[in-house]
Amino acid sequence: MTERGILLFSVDGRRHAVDAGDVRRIAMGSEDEPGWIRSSILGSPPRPRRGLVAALEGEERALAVDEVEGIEIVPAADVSPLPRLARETIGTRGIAGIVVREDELLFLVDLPQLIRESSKELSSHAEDE
Amino acid sequence: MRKTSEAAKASPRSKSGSGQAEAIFRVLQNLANGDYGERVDVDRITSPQLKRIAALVNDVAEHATDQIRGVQERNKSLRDGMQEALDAILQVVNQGELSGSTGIRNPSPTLSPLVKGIDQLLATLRSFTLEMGEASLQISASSAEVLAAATQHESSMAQQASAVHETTATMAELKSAAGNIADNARTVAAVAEQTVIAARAGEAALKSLLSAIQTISQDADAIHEAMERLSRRVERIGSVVEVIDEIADRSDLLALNAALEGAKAGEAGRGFSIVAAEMRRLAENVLTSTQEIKSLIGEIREATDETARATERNRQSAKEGEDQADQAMQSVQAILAGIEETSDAARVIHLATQQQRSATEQVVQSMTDLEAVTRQAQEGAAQAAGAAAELAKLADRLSSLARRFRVS
Repeated sequence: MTERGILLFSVDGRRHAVDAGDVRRIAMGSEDEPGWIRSSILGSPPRPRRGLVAALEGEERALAVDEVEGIEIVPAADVSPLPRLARETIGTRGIAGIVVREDELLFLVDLPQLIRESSKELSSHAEDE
Repeated sequence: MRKTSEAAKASPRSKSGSGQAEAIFRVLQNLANGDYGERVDVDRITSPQLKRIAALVNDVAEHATDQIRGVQERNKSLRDGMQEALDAILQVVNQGELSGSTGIRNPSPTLSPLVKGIDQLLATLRSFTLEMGEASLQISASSAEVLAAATQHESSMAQQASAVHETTATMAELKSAAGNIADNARTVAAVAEQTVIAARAGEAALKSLLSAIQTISQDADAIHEAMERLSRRVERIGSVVEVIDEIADRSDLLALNAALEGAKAGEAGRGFSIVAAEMRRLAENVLTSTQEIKSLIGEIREATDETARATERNRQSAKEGEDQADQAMQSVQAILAGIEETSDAARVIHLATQQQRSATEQVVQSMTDLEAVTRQAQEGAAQAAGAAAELAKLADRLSSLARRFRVS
């Protein structure tokens, strides 16, 4: 039986999961840190305590989160990709799957993709303004 | 008509010498008895001697008869004069007629002094009556004036007595009022003395209060300084806790990254992950403790802030209390000075009212005496008025009596 390491974090009071391999490191939260994504489809933490750093195209980008709750090793069977219908209707590729954890279901975030989408959206907003 | 003695009528020749003498003796006897009408018949006397005696007896009888007749005539004249004088006097007595004289013209020498005396008496009575009438009129007028004056005096004395009585009553009330004032002044003086004592006690209490407030103020300053030191130390503890919290947070982050690396390493990093998890647990424990410490520091800060505010309020209150105590002390001292002046004034008033009461008592006594004297004077005036009225009556009566005599 194979296992997967997942990182549990929370944004706007909701718990999410990300594959540990997608996270280069965990950074201390800071408002002035450049390259941080503060708003995404997960929400906008008002005072992010941590940042999940991912490597995108040779540089580090971070997703601001409220809290990193821990790293768990879960059976690979508890991690499922999104059904196609859901993947097509959800409108984002930043959610890669679902993690079954005891009695709750958690979104498994595709961190690099979420950062990438959020960066694009941020750029288009900046251009609109 | 002259009688002739029976013996003498007897014939001398028939009679003896003794019978003739008997006749003479009988005539003498009658003369002796006041009978002057009998005579001796001389012709019948034979004896010369008896004849001369009989003639002498007859002469004596004749002379006596003449004398008696003269006397009787004079008596008649006197009686008539006396009657006239008596009539004049009766006229005066009965009719009060004094206007004239007796009216007796050429009175006998015997009556002349009497008539002259009566005329002088009448003149004197007339003059006296005139003077009496004038005097009675004057007395009547004077008594009327005296009566009026006495009546007015009596009225005035009655008014004066009434006024004196009212004044005496008023003075008695004044005496009572003076007594009450003296009593009240004594009470005021006593109260003022007690107030002075109480004010002095209040002054001492205020001094103690002021000292206590100053001590409280000093204590409040000390507490304020201690609270500031405590606050600074709490702030320093907070800073230390912040450092500890930062370190714990970084330790937590480090443990997370270590756990992340362990998870990435798979089975090989399993032990590393366990250590990292333990490190993280410890870091979280530290963070939990620092949160509790922060919470406690917050509570301590709130408490110290509240204590500092309370201390500041206490300081302010103590300062205000000190100022108020100072003002109260000044007020009490001013009150004390005023009360002492009041006490002195009350004592002076007490003495003055005592003197006034004594003087009033003397005045009341004097007024009482004056009232008695006035009453006596009023009674005297009433008696004088009565006497004047009586005098007026007597004058009227005298005048009436005087008018009964006509003098002109």
